[in-house]
Amino acid sequence: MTAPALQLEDITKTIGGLTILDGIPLKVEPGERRAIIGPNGAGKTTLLNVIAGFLPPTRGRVLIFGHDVTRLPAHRRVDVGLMKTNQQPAVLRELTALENVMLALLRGRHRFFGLAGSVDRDHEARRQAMSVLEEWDLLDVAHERVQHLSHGYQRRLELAARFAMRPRLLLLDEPAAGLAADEIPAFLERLQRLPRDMTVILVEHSMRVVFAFADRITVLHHGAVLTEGTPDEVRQDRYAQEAYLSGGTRRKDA
Amino acid sequence: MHRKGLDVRSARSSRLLLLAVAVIALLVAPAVLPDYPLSVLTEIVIFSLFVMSLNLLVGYTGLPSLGHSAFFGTGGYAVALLAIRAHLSAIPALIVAVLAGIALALITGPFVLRTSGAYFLILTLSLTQVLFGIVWLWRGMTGGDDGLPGVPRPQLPFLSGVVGSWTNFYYVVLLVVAIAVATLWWVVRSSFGLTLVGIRENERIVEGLGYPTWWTKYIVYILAGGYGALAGGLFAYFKGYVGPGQLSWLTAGEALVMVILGGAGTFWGPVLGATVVLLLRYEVSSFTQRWETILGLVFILAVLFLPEGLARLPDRIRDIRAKGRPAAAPAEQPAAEAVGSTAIAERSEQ
Ligand SMILES: Nc1ncnc2c1ncn2[C@@H]1O[C@H](COP(=O)(O)OP(=O)(O)OP(=O)(O)O)[C@@H](O)[C@H]1O
Ligand SMILES: [Mg+2]
Repeated sequence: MTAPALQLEDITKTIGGLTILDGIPLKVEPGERRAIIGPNGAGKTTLLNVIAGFLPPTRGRVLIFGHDVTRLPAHRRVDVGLMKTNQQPAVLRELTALENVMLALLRGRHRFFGLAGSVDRDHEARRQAMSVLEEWDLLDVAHERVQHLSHGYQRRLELAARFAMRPRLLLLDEPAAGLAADEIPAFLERLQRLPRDMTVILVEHSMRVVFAFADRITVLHHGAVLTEGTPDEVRQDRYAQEAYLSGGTRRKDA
Repeated sequence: MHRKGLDVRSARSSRLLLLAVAVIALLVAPAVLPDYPLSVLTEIVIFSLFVMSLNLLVGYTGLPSLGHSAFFGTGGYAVALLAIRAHLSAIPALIVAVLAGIALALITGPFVLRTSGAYFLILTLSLTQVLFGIVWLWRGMTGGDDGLPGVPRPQLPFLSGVVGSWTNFYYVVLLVVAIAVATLWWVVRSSFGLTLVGIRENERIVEGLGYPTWWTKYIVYILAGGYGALAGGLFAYFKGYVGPGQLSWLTAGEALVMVILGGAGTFWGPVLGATVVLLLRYEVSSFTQRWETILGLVFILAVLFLPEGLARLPDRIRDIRAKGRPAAAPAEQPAAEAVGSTAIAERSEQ
């Protein structure tokens, strides 16, 4: 039996007396595409941050591919194959697009915390970075500072840098948010092309993306799991519908 | 693409040319400069290294230190004590000075790096104050507020007799600083250097890419301490004396002004900052006592009109010129897609 890609046991997070996550269990199989949905403030981002190690849970355990990582800092969780994208694209704005990808690729390539290797002289990494940029249609902005790029470009760059690191478990926090409507099909297609040896957990408000992409969907509401099942099951679920109705939706009238 | 590549290449070769001219000018300076201006130039060279070491923290990593004089002073006292009490020659004395700076950083790093931003500023400031207090109280060792006079200026043996002692010492400083600056260049161009800039921009993102950011900051703090102490050792030789003023936070503050004025996070900015401030100081103090006021004014003007520092002036001009060109990627409309229950409902109906 292989260990689940992600297993959460009783994940609870309270901040300032407020319970934001309330005893969440979760089990995601290797290769699975899991969507986590729920109204604004349901705790989705908080949950991803607990999984990635940016927030310590108040209670509970996080296991990634069978390793208990609950006490590991975020950077050590990358070692077991975890990567996460942020609601606001996690890109370094003062750096160029190329430098952003280089930083991802250079991790662990040079000894002594990177002191042993020059960025400019690592032609191998540079070539690899350029091909990553090409793959994501970012070649034309390779030398552009990220702060001058539009949101859509920044999002693609964020994903490009993460995929370049070949994660085994990828957490995506609202990757389609802020994309123009005509960009979404191409984006969805990219997601669907991801290799199956990568497990993906997707938090997303765009139901078009969620239902087309996910194998299973977990509905979060007030920091607890409301329901979980296949897209068809969730679509029929009365509680899921109500959660969205009562929780209010974002950009409903957009 | 092509045009960009050419731009980059021509910018690089013109920068190399500028560097070559500067190196030659520094090498022949003693031939044309009398002793006094040469001593000012020597001080500029030493301060350039000191400010560059501070720039590693402030400019590259985004750690605003107001206590870098702790290392400058430690290096100074190490050299003075070793030269006066143990008659140690310059090379071993400077090596011990660097080690002393590294040791101080090793010990204090875990404390000051618990914080960032304004708290880091305050903690590093208190660090210098503590050292200042120790020097003050431990009079038998440090000479208290009298300091330690009589530090002999090192000379290059093959030049002694050929050139004067100021010129000879100038070349010692130039040699040591050149070696240090070359290694600094390596540091900031290494993957480690890129990680530093990443941390300055957003530490969490860098951590999320799998970098142990705390250790990276600790290491850069140690490196900055070592380079800062080396500059401090040279400064003690330069003055022939070390006193608590070298440890004072005022010295750190002046270095911070030089970093910002020259261009934080640029490699050569600190040299510009050190040059402008020191030249101004000697020019201005020849006709007025209000040097600090003038420096303050210059600093305010610079922050208002050149917030990114002197070294970025060419970039700024290029940016302004390039403004006419179309942007690389046009801004996009925000998503206009139904979300939430509406979307679920829509899907179910299909
Ligand atoms: N640091 C914090 N301190 C206090 N409350 C917080 C903190 N972070 C999040 N919260 C609260 O926790 C709840 C969950 O926030 P979270 O960002 O996880 O929601 P979300 O499901 O990602 O929402 P969205 O769809 O808007 O992104 C919200 O009510 C939020 O206000
Ligand atoms: Mg969120």
